[in-house]
Amino acid sequence: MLFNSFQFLIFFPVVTILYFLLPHKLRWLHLLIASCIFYTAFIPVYILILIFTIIIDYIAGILIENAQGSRRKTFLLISIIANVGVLAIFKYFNFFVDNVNSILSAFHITTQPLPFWNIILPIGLSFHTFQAMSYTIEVYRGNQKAEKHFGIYALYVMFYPQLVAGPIERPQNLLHQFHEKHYFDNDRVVKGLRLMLWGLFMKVVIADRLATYVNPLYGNVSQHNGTSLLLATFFFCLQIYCDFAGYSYVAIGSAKVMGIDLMTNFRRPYFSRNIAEFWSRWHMSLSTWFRDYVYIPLGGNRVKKSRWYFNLFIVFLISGFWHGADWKFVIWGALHGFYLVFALVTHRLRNDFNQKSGLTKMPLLLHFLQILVTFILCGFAWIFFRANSLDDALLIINKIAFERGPLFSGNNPAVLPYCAIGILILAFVDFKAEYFTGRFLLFYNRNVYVRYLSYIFIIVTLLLIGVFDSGQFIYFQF
Amino acid sequence: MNSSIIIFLRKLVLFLLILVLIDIALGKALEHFYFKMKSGQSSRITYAMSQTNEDVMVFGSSRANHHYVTTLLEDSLQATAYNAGIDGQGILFQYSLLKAMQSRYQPKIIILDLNPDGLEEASIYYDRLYVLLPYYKKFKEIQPIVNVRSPYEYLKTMSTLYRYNYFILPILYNNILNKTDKEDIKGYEPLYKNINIAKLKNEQKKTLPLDSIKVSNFKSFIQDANRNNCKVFVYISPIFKINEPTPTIEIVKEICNKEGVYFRDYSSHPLFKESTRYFHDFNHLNNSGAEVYSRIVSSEIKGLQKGAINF
Repeated sequence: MLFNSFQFLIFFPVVTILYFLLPHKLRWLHLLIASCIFYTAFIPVYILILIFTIIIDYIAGILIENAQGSRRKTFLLISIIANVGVLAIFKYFNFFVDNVNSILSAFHITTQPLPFWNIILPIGLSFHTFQAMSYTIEVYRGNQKAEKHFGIYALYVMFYPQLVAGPIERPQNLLHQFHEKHYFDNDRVVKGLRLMLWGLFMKVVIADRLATYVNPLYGNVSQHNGTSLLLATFFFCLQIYCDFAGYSYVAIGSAKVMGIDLMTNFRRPYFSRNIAEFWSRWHMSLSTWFRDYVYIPLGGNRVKKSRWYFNLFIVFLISGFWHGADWKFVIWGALHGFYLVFALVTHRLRNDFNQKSGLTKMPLLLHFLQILVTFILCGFAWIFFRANSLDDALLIINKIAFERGPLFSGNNPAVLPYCAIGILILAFVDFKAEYFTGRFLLFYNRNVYVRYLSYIFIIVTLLLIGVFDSGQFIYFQF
Repeated sequence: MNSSIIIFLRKLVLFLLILVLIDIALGKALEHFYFKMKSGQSSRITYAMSQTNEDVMVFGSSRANHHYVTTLLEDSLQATAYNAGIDGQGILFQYSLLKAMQSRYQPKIIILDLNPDGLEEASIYYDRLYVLLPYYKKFKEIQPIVNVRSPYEYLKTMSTLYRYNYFILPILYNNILNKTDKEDIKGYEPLYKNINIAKLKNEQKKTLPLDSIKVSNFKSFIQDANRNNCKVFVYISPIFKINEPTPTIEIVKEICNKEGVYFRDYSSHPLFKESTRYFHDFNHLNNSGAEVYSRIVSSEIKGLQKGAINF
């Protein structure tokens, strides 16, 4: 079920009202059933994969906690192999086959090509697999007690707001909340609904509208010039932000209404002044996952410099691969890894340059330039992420660099003005939140009229210029 | 029930009430200005749906719009004519238009121009039915067709604002400026430039399977028109280059044969095929091409109609 669908408009209030009407001891069951309904609205049979990993990890958690010595590690490994195995089979099998076939054909080895597996990737597989893995790892590390209640553990993996696209939760933050009794709290419910409203606005008014410009261009690169592709790339930077952050806001908001706090996933990433900061603001639940479970175990920055750089690079390479079984995602991850290592290597040089050029005496300009450069670097990497193939990505870069021409105005002349309206509202809201915290409040204004007017403005804009054909969220494919 | 729930529910009901009132009030204002528009595509749709009374009606997409010179049809057939071809629309829209029209009057001749891929699967034609949302409540006949957009379309259209989703800028533009840069001669919009072959990209268009909903709408279009004594002529007008008969052409031929409706495929007619003189772009004839083509069509219909229809 999509958050921007009509089904969800019915599903959410029904589930929430029942949640508060039911006694506490039945709430876990209610949420679990609701989550199953939510998930099976996509492709029902894939729930079996979820059940498989839930059973494995539930048992593994208890065994790890009760075992001593090396047996703990063995049980952890079994759990990790089961989770990664599911990912490998369902997400990476065809990628592997494709590459083996390419290698065989490159060496003119004339065997029958390996057959592909005709399968659709289960929705949100990478998200719930990572969340499940964080549970067994934390139990192994002793930071989390094994959950004895099977239903509650299943709910930890399947909790519908964050089941298919995160935030990727940690057991220490989420599990205990399912045991606690949550009372109806007016302020909390209103805060949750505000987040949901803004998330929907980001998705329906901004992301899906921008997609109506981006998709035709990225879907038919050879027919368009560099100028239009540059605009489409700029739009995609905002589209993916609004799509994913919008999803996260709805997820966090809908959980908050029920009294459950999920972790923050986005913090205005395009105001970052460098790539490291970008990753501390973008998809934070994934960045911290990789930090806690890959980067630090590899040694983090408490190693030799060369090893440190290697650790950083490899983490981003894996992160790219996590996003999709395609070389374009690997390149996207590698680019970010390269940016980070390059930034570390040139740190002193860049500081010297800023001082000698006098930029340090103009902090506002320096601040702006740093944001701009970070945005451009991210935008360049997004080309690989969004393009339909590696060849398309290279063609787009070539066209942006060398081919000028008239701007494609979209299949409908009103597309660009509508995109502009959405972008302006987003810019205003994010800029205000970044630089004027606590000032010019709208949703949070003390004056009830300002608050109500803000809600009404957002809802009216949503109805008037939103895209209502329930476009899928980009990150569902991961 | 605890008091905070009661306070919340009270506020929620009040807020929803305000929202409904705003939806109605703002929606009514938009409706007023929408139907006041005198230029733009929407005003053409409004005219076609609620004001036409011509004897000859042309239905189709932008290809119909730029290919059938209404004045030539009028002169040849000695009847009034209007070109109701609308950019980017397919059979679902055209059938809706027919339904709306037939609720008021019956045209005597209908020329239905189909795209060579017009009955194939392409979800974009469902999305584009949004142009009919402002007419959803006015013409109950079109509701079943518009409802194919999504399973909850009926519920969504309860919001007046939703019915004007996407129209706020056209309404502002056309009410304030009230001008159009397009020449409109009884619905026909001529194109004057010649095709630039250098700009043509050599891309093979993928053939998609037939869309059963579109096929059944096409059938219903013909049957409804026949039932009301409208003579239907189905055409596929010239296209710059087409390689083989498409599944659409095949099925249209079959249905027209079965229903006893005249069908002619001009998509690869040698007179127009790859003619830089007659084409404006890959899909559209320019004014010279449209005049030649319209003469052919009108004399063909005239020949077929001699003695059959009294205007």
